[in-house]
Amino acid sequence: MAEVVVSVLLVLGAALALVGSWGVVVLPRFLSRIHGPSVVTTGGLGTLLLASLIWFWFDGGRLTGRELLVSFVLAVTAPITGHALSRAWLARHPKDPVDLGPGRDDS
Amino acid sequence: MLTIAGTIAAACLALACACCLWRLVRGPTSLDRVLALDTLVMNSAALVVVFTIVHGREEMFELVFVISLLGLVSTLSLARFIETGRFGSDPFEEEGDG
Repeated sequence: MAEVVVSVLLVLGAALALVGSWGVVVLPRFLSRIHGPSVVTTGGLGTLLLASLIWFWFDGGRLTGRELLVSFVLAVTAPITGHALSRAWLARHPKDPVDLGPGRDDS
Repeated sequence: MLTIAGTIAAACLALACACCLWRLVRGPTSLDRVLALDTLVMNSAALVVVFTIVHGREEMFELVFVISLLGLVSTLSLARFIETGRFGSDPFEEEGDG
């Protein structure tokens, strides 16, 4: 039973990582491309870490906090890298029009 | 069944790494290359997790810590270098807000 769940989670996490990396390739602008690594980190790697947690819990009989620790670190640091990259982009390209949505026209 | 799922997952992650490498070679700006490098590091950490599960090598899990923290530090420092043009703060310059 645990093997079925872990297998499904493995394929799902790898597919999410593939979707994020494919977004890095096909999205047209840098400020939209920056959303790809977030999908890879939180979705793909988070799902794979959940699979690892379940597998070593039910197969090896050990429940450790390593996977939860890595998931927490990744969930905290993924927005930080995205923020740093977008800030660097806006510092280097101040004329790049940012679509701020309706009602905001100060780009 | 776990072996088949692990093979499919490794193939998907290899394709994802190929996507990152394409952006790394092709990227029009250096920030695109930093972004591709960040994604590549996260994909390799995911590959290590898949390897850990399929082969039962639980001690390899420490690699995920090292890879993810190295990816964080390298991405942050490269983004800061591209933003300001230097590493850290200039020691000979008086700065008010650091």
